[in-house]
Amino acid sequence: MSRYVLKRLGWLILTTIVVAIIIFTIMYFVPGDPGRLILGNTATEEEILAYDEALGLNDPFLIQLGRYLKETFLEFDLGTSYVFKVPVMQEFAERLPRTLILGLLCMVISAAIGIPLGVVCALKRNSLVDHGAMILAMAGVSVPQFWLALLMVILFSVNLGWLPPYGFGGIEYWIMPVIAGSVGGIAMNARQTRSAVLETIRADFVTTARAKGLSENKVIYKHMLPNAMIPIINLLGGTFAMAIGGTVVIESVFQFPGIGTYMLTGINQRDYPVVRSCILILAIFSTVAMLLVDLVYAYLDPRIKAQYVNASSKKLKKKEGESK
Amino acid sequence: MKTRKATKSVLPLLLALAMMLGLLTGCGGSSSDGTSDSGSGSSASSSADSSATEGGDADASGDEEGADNDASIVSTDYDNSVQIDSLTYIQDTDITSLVPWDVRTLTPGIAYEVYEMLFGVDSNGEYYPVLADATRGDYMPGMDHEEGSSDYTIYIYDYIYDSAGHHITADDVKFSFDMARDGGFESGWGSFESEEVIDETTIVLHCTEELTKMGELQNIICRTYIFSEEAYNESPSGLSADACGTGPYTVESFTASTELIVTKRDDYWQTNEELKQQIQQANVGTITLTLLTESTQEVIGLETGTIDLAEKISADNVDQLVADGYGDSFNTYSSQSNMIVYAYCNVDEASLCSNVALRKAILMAIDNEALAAFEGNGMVACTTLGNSFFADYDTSWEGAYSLYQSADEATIQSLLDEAGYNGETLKLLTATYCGDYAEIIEGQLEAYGINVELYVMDGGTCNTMKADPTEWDIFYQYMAADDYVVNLWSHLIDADGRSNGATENFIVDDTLQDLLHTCMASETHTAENMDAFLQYVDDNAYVKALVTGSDILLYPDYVSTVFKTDKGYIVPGACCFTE
Repeated sequence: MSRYVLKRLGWLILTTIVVAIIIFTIMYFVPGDPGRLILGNTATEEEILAYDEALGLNDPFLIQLGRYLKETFLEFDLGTSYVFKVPVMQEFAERLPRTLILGLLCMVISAAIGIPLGVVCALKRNSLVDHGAMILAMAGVSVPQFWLALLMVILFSVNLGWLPPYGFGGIEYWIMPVIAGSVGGIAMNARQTRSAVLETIRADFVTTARAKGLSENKVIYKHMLPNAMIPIINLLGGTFAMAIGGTVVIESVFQFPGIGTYMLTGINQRDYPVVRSCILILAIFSTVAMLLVDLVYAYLDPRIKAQYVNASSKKLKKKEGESK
Repeated sequence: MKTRKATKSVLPLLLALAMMLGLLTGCGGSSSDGTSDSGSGSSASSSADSSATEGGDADASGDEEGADNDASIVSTDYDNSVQIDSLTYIQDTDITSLVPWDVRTLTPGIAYEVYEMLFGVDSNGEYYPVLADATRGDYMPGMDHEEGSSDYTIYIYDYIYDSAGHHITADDVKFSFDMARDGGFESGWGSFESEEVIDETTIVLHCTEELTKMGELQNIICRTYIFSEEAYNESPSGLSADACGTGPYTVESFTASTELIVTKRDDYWQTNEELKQQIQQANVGTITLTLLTESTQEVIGLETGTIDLAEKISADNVDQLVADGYGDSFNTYSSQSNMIVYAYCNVDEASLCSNVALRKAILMAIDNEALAAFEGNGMVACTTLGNSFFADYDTSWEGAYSLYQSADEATIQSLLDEAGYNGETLKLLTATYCGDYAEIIEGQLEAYGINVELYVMDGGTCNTMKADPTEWDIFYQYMAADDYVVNLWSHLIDADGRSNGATENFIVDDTLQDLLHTCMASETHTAENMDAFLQYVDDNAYVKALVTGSDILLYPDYVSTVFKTDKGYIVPGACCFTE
């Protein structure tokens, strides 16, 4: 198992480097001159050329790529933002925790409410509770985050005056962004959980467990839910990966100074260091999320763990056989 | 069973319908019809009418008793007797960093609270010394200059200290100019060569020639923040995320693109009230500039009281406030914006529009009134190349030139025939942030048989395409300028300083350059010369102004006077208040 984990970590590093090369190449060929954007329409051609020269943007592609890879992976220097004028790492250090907390809070609340709701709906399928919850879930999945966020602001800030409409600070500033960001996740988790539990509810081992006289709670939580969790874990893994990039809309509406708005400004302003770094972080998060998902799979389902272990052993035996 | 099946299929349809209706009602900020139509309220005239006035608001537009568009709000009769604890305001520019040499980033008036320049300039073009020593200098307070010489000697006070206690000397002035030059922010410094430190309080600006163009001296001495070299070296971020200036305020906290909070300094260096300029006053304890990317939040912030004052708020948002019943809570003052939307054609040989007759036909076919009516939101049609924001604007130009007169179909057709135009497709290029007008202009041109293909690109791509003469034929975008309309003209079609010797729309015309530079020189900046330039531009259809906007200031009753920089930004601490 440890061999499998190490192998996946190796793939993570390789994936990150490949993503870095791809994103660098894409940004290199995207039309748009940062110097022209930053200096504005009144700058002369000479000024723009000089500015680009100072930024190293006139160097050949391979030289720029080599410099970028060396700085990123050997010196851990993500560069300095053309627009914000501070090192990208410094902004990340401030913004990433905020976005992570927001994203993870949304994920945890989505799971904490969505999964139990899905289980209840599955167990009470075709009842009023089930229909009501699924209608709400469908609404939750359909409602645009942007629209929901603004409606919440109008209700809680303007009409009721309970919460601040935007900004960043104490706990009162987090309530609406977290709720707005969680609604879609709760709905998806509820629907996915209901579907997954319904599949296992008819399984033979569940009938056997009941026949053995186990309590309903034990049947549900010890037998049904672990087997139903596989697709849900997959969904949660995807949500975790999107914890960074998925909050752009929420951050924009609530003026939340996170990675989402940082990346948006970088894209609009052709701020190459910011865009490259944000996408790199997204790629790292995605691969880590997938690794965690696979590890949780292995924990939950011994068959999957055995597959991982067997795959490694087979390869080892094959190598030993070849060497003999 | 059948009923259940029917319910299952009908219910989702009903929900989808409800969602669509909800989207239509919940999105956008369209004003209700019963109240002020911002299009007429603030677009009807070039200067005065407020839009937050009709529909039952007691502060009626143009009404002498009403507080809206009360010109006393921008009077220069300042009363600094009242101080307030705090003020939160919003304006339309983002601040992504605090670097003092990047005046493009640090443009809002709040920057003047933290950093200061050698001189300021008022809306009439009169200089006043800020860091410059008003007690010295014969050419003007703070400066010596001999007529015909290319050197300008500036004296600064010997008791200037920044918020960290660094003493500002002439070396710091030199350092500040050098940082601006190194940062590439030396637009308009064409003749400015170097600085020489004479002593601690004296510095000489060496230029290649005497600065005779309108606004040329201003670009140097009134556009560069002065800061301490020691402060820069001590700053962990190189003054990007932390600020250390000589202004009456110091930065308490800064979150890029979100919020900037400044607090009044108790140790401000200028204690001589007779020498202190209005821009140096500190009538507010704590100033918070909130940067909102979401337009709806502006209205919400004003309604919930989290925002006290809005600088350059859109007319649509003002209408929304009135519609929501908050019209009585604020007053508005509308003034002409320094921004215009302009259009021009590609004059390069690679484009069909190198033909003057075709250019004329195209520009005449664009109906400015229709564009303004379509856009609403306080936009008005331009009737000449400029507007009344600029100090040297002349109303006699309005409607005097052929491009701004009603389009006559026969004239346009004869121009098209003269050009030999056979319905070829022309490329209309613009950026997404002003893409609203693209289809309207397309429709207007096609009404005369001029076929157009739209290229609405993001800013970066647009700028890159614009630099290639094979990529576009017609272009339109926003342009703003400083105090003088000649600066606007220069920004639009001046080939000076460009490596290819052509303007941005590839005009190579010595006569145009001569006429423009004649207007820009202070001595020959006359009505006659400016008229000659405009006539030449019109005859050759080099550029046309389409629409311009209004800047609407929204302020509470306790603000009695606002102080604005020459660029029209409010300096909150320098504003005056009542109890």
